[in-house]
Amino acid sequence: MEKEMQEIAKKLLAEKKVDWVIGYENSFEPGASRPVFMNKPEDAVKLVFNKSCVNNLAVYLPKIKKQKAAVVAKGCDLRSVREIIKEHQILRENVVIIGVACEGVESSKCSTCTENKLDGVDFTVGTVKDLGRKEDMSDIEKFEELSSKEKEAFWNKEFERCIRCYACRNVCPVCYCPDCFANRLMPEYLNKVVNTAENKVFQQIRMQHVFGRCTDCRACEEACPVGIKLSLLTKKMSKDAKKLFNYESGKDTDSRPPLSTFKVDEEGIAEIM
Amino acid sequence: MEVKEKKLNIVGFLCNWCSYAGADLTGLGRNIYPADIKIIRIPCTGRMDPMMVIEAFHKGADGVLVSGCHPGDCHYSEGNYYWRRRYAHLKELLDFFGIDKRRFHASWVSASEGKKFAEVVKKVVTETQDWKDSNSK
Repeated sequence: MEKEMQEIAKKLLAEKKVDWVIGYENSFEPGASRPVFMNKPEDAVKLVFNKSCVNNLAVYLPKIKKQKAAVVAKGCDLRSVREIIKEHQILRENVVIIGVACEGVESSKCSTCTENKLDGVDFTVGTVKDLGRKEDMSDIEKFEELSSKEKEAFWNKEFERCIRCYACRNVCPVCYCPDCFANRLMPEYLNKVVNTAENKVFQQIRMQHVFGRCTDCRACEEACPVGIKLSLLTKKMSKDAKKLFNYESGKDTDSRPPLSTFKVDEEGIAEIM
Repeated sequence: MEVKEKKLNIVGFLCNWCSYAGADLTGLGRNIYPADIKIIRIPCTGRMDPMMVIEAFHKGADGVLVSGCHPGDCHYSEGNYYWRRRYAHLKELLDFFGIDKRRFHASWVSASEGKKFAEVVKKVVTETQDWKDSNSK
């Protein structure tokens, strides 16, 4: 599988079809991997794929706008790639997608993964198997039944730990705004002080911004140095998008994002006086 | 209705073309409604950035009301349809964060519905008060 991937990368770079190949290489730590950017065909041997390849490499795509890049994508990352193409952050002809048949990496999402199919990729590495896993929303439903006071207490406890390193924003493939509200001073929506209330507002606004684009890839949760349970929020949002607007992010590259379109006749979605 | 003392902090975002004029008419028609609401005029509910709602709650608002033209009557044709979608998901998301559904409201009030505006504010105040009472227990 790795050999196959290296051959493809080598060929793409040698024929100058792409300027960069974005993939995984072994890290200095044994058993760990890290993202790698290659522009020489002889570097292609570095490419690996194993259980530690957790990172969502789609995050680097909006940054290479003018150049062409090939990206190694698992089924879940592929949804993010589609979402970035849909929002015109990169042109489809400027990206070569090397889809990897993934059977799960060391991530919390993998036990409920239904996303390992690779539709619309340029190259497929390995054979895609049906993993027979099912989506599980029971934790969200359980949380929704709590009272507002309990919910608030839970999030206060979580965001008390937040150090506002913005890692969640920086690893998010759909958080690509060059001028983030968190850095803006006019208007200053967010104070730079790190405290529970401000941390919570930061995450509330960030979550609202990525609604309908978030593919629940869990990159934010994995990047969080203090282990805030952000997957609860991302899962809730994908549930809402499905329930309210019958929309699933990252399934195709041409549908309109739910908040940038509307139907005239949808009285039922919200109770409005 | 007897005028009670102002107790709550409710922020009302009203659209310039319908609800703001509607609120004006409420006063002209001498309809009495609770004074707990502070009104901010916005050009259209389509301009209503969800960040402003989050910010209002963060700065200590007990409740938020966003009001605009009826569907189909928007001065800019479609602004309120976009707001309807944003409202639907924002209400769910804020509830998940622990901001009770009773604190966040939206309504359609046209420029001729002065009475309805008074009713809407009464309802928002009752529900927000309801939340406040249950929360302080």
